Amino acid sequence: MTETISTDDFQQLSAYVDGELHGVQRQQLEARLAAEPALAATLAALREQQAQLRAPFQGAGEAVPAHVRALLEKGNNVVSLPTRRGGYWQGRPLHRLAVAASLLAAVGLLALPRWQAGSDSEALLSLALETLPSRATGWHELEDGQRIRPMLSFPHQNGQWCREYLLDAGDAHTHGIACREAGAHQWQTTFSVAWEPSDESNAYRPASAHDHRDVAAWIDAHAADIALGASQEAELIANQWQ
Amino acid sequence: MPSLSEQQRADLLDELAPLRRFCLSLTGAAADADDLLQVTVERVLDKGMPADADARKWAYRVCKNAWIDELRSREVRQRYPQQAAGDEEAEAPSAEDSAVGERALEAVSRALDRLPDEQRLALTLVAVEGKSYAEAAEILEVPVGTIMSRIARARRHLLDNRSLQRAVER
Repeated sequence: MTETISTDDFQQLSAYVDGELHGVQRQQLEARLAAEPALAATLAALREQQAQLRAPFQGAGEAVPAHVRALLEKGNNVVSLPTRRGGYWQGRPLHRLAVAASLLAAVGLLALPRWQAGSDSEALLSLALETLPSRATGWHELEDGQRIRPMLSFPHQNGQWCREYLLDAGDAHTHGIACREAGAHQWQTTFSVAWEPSDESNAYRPASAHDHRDVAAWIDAHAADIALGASQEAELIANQWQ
Repeated sequence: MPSLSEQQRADLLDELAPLRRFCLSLTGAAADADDLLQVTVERVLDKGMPADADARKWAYRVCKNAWIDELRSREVRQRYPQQAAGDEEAEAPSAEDSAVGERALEAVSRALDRLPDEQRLALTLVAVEGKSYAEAAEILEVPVGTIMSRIARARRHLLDNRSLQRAVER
């Protein structure tokens, strides 16, 4: 509908809508608007568009969460809730995710999971991280019945490769980072937090919903670069991470 | 970098409401907006800001950067083949989940999703947030003329594709 309007004219109309056209330019445009129906029609369309753009966000500012406000209030001593890192985009169903976030907060950091005590499980996990591609959904079942989902691979600042993963050990659920000891084919978990399946009917929702601020913060603090793409990762797996 | 002055902290508190609206216009969902807002405030508190910085503008810039970071991280995640199916599933809201207001929000957000990021940011800051071109230029760290042309291109794109109209009428 705007094909008859030049880029310059359109830009002027747009600035006019925003109250950013001043002086002579404004006067000239207003004179033309009175004489040129196509220009006036485009202005009307732009104003309608403006209203459509704004409508859904009316009142959005009234719902600032108390825990965010509390972060800034004087003399606060608040421990913030974990956000769903990477979860902006899988925000449905929202109410359940909100519950998951509060559960994560309640569970907090737990003791090391049992496989870290040194066991066959540890070797199985290490092997899985050595050989399996990352995935966004679904699980790989280990021989001992635990289930793993490698999520991301990225380079550590110290030169090691590290992987983010979820582990479901039945009674314990771990969201962790393991890094590869160069040459040893061994993946050592260097950081982990517990996560909690949100409810029985939908126990294994997408990984990002469980994603945890602390894991995200750890990656931010230690990663040398962004995560590997699937083809880069596949190549590394094929070359035993060399 | 120094931590926040009392004035900056107070300014930021005052700015939380519009900042949350900005978050909502970028993410398109309330819970996501709350997360982005929280990440923004935490980053500001964690990293501080220069003593002479205007907290109101600084926070928008931090918020914009946090959102871009998430977009990039999403791109990386989407390169994994298994992601595609899961994502579509997650993006299709069920009828029960969406009240009418939420559907309008999702529809407008989908239209905005089709804009290049830099156009969307400029348009949102000015058209939704009511920032002046000068303020938006400062937040996005580009010249005023660039803001003007990005906004015009974004608006033209939305009009020519009727994506907003279709979104609202649906």
